[in-house]
Amino acid sequence: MRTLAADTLILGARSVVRSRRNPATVVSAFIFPLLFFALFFIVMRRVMAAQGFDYAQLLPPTIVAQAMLFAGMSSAYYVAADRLSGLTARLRSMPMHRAAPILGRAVGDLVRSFISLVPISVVGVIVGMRFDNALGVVGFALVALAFGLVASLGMGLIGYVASSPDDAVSIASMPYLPLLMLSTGFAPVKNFPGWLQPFVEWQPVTAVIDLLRAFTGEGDVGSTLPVAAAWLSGFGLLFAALGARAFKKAS
Amino acid sequence: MSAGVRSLVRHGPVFAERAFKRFIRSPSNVVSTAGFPLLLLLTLLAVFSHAVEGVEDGPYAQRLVPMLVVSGLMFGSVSTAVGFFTDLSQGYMERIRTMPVSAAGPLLGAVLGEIGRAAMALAVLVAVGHGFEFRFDNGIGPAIGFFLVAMLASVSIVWIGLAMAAVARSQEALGPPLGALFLLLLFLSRGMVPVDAYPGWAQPIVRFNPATAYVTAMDRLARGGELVTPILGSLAWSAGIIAAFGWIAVRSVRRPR
Repeated sequence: MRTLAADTLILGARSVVRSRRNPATVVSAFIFPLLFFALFFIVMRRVMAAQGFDYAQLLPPTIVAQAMLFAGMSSAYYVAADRLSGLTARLRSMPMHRAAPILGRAVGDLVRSFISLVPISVVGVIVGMRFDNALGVVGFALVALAFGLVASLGMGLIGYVASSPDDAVSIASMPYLPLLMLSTGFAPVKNFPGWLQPFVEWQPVTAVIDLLRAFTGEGDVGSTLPVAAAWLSGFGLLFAALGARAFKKAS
Repeated sequence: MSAGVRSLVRHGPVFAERAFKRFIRSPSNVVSTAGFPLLLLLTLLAVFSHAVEGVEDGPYAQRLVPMLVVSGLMFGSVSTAVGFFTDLSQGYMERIRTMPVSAAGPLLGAVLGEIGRAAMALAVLVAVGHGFEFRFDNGIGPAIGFFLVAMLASVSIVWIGLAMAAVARSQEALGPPLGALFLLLLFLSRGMVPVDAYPGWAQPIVRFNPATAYVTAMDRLARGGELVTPILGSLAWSAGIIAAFGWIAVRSVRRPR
């Protein structure tokens, strides 16, 4: 058990150091989410306000979800890079706990998610997002990180099959756009074409955004929590199991 | 005609063919030119058409198609810029300099190749846009003008990336900043919402933006409206972009680094 903890920490620290030194990861963790935030806020705020949809309060949780999906894309990149450089196989031959590489990666993913969560939340509070109490802040952060972890586990799977790290990112970016845009993140369900509304209402990213908003006083935690928890735990377990299998095969 | 210009005329098509093959054979390039704008058209329509049609007349696709053609040209041209960077950094340009062809050939080829990109973006977005009530209400002449403005935009915008490729020190220092610049130009244009939907302080930025000039010209050619300002604006922006960024890019092929 002690080796597991120690090895996980070492590999987690490596993952963090590595992403800190990669300008592309820094850009996608800080600059892109803030840029999207500013742009959607400037461009769409008035139009959406006419719909009774207040971006100052409602957009920050959306951008948090987007940043978590970006963290997932970084994970796809690093999984592919480690596999193709032979590191994944090399770790297997070393005297370390066999679960450490997977857990170490999860630690790295969580740290990356946390680091990009903080500036967006701060900007969100500056433009007008409000938390009811300290519990709201904690719940908001936990749900965001849980989503970041599930997104990283899921998109990380792509890293096991892609032919290059850049390919992994392009494949991972395909589900990202429809999942994020066709959610309640940018417009209410009623604004979507009728045939699309059931998808928009029930898909996982909507569930996460609605729960994040509930922690900022927009909506009810009691009714949004079960849906989000079911999606997150279901996909989390599925992706973790698939990831463990893919890792075994790759090493 | 000087020997350089004569060679440029003779070998230009060869370089254009190379550029076009490079484009058509790279799946990610085709995706960024037509696939991604198409996906964006469908999602933006689904998310925002209800809201935007609440503040202006006409189908939202009429506004979006010109803007997404320009977005395909911009994000697609990033690959051309990266390709030119590889040419400069991996010895291709040195090789060209030893041959009896104009050293400006690869640049000319890259620029002509962008016309193929424009044709692809136009074909896909106009065809799909038609399904969402995008129309040329203004007749055949202005419709041709619509296509010409897109071509003009394509051979102008590409110089921004070519110039940045000429001064960039690494590929990482080229792609992401160029992508961020184009993202800013597109969002802060009148491509997604009318100018008066922007906050007051942003409106001058929106008006003074090459993407706004091209998109407005194309939008009015399709829908009707005053044409002189946006067309002169597009020509002026193109002349400015080609002069400023062209100068930087051409200097880099003249002077080996």
